[in-house]
Amino acid sequence: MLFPDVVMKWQADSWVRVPNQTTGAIYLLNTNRVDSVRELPNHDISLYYFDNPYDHRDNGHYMVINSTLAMMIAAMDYAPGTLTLTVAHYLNDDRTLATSNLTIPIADFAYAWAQTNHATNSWIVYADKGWDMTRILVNNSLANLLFQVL
Amino acid sequence: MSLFVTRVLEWEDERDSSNRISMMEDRGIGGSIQGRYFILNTNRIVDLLDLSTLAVPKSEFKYFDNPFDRRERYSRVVCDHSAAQIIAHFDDVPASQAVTLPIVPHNQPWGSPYTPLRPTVNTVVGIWAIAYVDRYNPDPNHYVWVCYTKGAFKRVEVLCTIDIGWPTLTSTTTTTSRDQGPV
Repeated sequence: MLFPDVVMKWQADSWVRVPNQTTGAIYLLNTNRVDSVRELPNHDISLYYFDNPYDHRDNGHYMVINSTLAMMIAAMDYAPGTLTLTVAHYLNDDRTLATSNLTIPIADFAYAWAQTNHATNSWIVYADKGWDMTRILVNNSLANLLFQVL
Repeated sequence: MSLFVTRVLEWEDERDSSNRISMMEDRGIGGSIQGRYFILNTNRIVDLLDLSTLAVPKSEFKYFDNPFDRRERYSRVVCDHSAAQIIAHFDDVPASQAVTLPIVPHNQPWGSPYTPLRPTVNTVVGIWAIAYVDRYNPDPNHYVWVCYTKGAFKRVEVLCTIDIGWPTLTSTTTTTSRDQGPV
């Protein structure tokens, strides 16, 4: 299931995914990417997050999120209303061009974050199965993406 | 997808030289039951064949420790469930998608001067990641080996205290995996 959360640490891409580890960054994540979830003394949780769990070349990245263990387990047990996401994909990731509808299985969804200064747009990263990762700009807010699978 | 406990009669694998079932367990000699109990995961199974006779349920299948990893070859498993029973396990709905593993630090339950006894660390993994659960021979009433996978990347084996929500593995009567039995 997809779940939004404040990521405080994400040890991937030289830590740039969370530039400010005091305030964290909001991401839409997928429970089918999480591994070894543990509760920290401050009641945040640590885990290892796989961008692509189907690819043996990809290891899990250490992550700390501002959530509780019970909330994580509840998200893992939540049955999504649909198994696909349909997004309005900007051609060439250019906001000045037209959009086209694109449907992505949520099993392949890796993570998403709101575009800076344009919260109604989001960047989505999803897996091309075990082969590759794709990043696209879409005309959907994070809330809209989450609403689709509730 | 679900976890289920079964008595494995044969387990031919390349990773562990097919030693997951000791010779004593394999032959059922020395007063032991033939085979060894494991908890398996239905999401690792392909090519299920029914080998049952009228009186004895039995099936054979290919089993992948890590089905997502193209480097991983399958094992051949024969167990004491019929194909119909295995199919029923496929359709079981687990109570939760999250499994809490009380992991024993250093895989060492008793501690030593070098690895002092420490409390277990509760670690949650997805049920889809569990490859199998095996009995811990020195103390099968309190510990199990849990093998789970981290994505397609690698396999991890950890010693855990028994989660009371799991089916028990302690009904076997064999002793240790090093027992080879009389020659």
